[in-house]
Amino acid sequence: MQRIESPARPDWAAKLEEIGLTYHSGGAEPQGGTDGGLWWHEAAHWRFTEAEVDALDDATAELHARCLDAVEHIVNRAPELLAERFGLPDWFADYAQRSWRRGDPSLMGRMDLAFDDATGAVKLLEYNADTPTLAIETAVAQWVWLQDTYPDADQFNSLHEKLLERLSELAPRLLGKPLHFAAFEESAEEWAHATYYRDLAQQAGIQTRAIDLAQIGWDGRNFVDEAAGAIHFLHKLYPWEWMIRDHFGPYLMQDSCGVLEPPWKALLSDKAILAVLWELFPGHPNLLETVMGRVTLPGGDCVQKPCLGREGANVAMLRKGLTMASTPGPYAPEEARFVTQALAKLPQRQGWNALVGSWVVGDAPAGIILRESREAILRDTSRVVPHLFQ
Amino acid sequence: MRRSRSIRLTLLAASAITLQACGEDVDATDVVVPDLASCVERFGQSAEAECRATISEAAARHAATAPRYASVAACRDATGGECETTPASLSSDKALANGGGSVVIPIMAGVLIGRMMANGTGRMVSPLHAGRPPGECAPGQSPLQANCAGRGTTSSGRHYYSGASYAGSAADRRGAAAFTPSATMASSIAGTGAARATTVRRGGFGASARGYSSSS
Repeated sequence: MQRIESPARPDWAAKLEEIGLTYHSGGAEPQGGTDGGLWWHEAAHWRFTEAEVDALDDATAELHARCLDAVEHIVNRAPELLAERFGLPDWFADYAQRSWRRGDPSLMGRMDLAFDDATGAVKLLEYNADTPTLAIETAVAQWVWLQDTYPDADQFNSLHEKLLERLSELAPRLLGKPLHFAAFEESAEEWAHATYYRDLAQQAGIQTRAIDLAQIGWDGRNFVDEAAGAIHFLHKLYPWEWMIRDHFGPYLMQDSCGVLEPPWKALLSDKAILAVLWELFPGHPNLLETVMGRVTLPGGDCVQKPCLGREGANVAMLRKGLTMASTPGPYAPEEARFVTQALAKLPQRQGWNALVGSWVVGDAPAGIILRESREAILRDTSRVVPHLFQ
Repeated sequence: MRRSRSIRLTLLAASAITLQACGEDVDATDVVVPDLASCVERFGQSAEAECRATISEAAARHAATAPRYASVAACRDATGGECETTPASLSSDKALANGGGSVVIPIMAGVLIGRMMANGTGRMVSPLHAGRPPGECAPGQSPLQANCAGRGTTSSGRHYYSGASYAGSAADRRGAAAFTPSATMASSIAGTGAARATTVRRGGFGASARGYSSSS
């Protein structure tokens, strides 16, 4: 694994805007060697060997399979965990169980992986199984970047193709009814992602409608769109834990509307799953020891993070029991649940730490995207950088 | 090869433009049509008879509900739009006509055709006349009485009134144009067939997101 500083394409910003990625930089220019406020940063990229890509591919497939085992375990053998460990209200626990048992299909998720290339170890940090973004950056932006800069190299990235295939598989299940895509219109990143997913769905032969999340209506029987048309199928870029708390949440259990990602995915996007995984598969080579609560693990090298935290917020990193780094954020109110996870080693080059985002579409690995930061804890401000392999 | 072979973007590639086009669903938007041709253009050739009937019915309602003035000058002055004479047909016209046989009303600038209601009750239709932008004085209001901005701008032709109340605006003056209803008009549009309509409540999702980002 190498980190290469390489010149950005002269027209990089226009290239990104052309594909709908308008939120690329906040006006900053990529410069070699500097930390910066850029979102998309192509003045650096990471290079893998084919063997390294194989390792990431295999680990992703293995981890997703173990995650499904964990959901099966919780739903059918340890349902008490739904309330005790995941803090779910009864109605949602019931809804999620039903959703799993009847096999509600999922579309995608993105795991955050720590890849220690010195030892070859791939470890799961968390699974963004519910509302993953970075899809445009992965599937389109870095793909176009590769075409433009290193057309003879390869990239571990069939995300676009796999999403299209998966949506084509799901299309017949919609029975000709439209799929509504809900997101916050005011968030450029989120709306662009909803638009991208909608674009793919249309190409897969699905009728689609875009709707601002706050405009979803309830007419007493159905969720309805702005034209008062019933919403039979909903793709939401809004996490389950918030839908549960929202006023309309409990109406979902009437099942008048099929949802992507399905309710059972709420279990995987909650970091409590990491503790369940460790209990079920202790010592698994792709898992880090994880326990519930804010504690110090033996040896004292560990990370404490809120179960429902997002984008690296409210995370504390401990070495030998001492806090070495921590991030602020809004996800740690008094009642928040936490997990403590053994500290993983991220690859570091020239002072930059890299985190691998690894995609799963349906049940198959679909490619990676990298983020890098000089900080030990990667956040929503960390740069998104492209990769290639040879 | 581990990467996608090809990538086609139909919506995302020009999302600003295409998102607009999504609103082109004729059943889901409110439009203003200035004449028969633009109505047919909007709703299709098969809707020609319906367009004709709709417009002529709207014209009749316009003649009965438009604000009345004693003279063309008074009408133009008050509305900022074009005006025409019409027979003094209402009992209240007699005083205004001052013994004459006609009064002056703003011309019908277009017909609002509301979105299709999901409960099958059809569309709300309303005649519109042009006027000054809201905030400037509405027809019949004087700056002193109504505390509105006095005249000065001539009507752009994009702001519409129904009777004496502000109905909304359209982006374009010519052809069928998407109509942005005022709050009052929006509730009239939604209230079409209210007897059979169920009440739709909105805003039940999203509250938990304040101050957060949904992406992960």
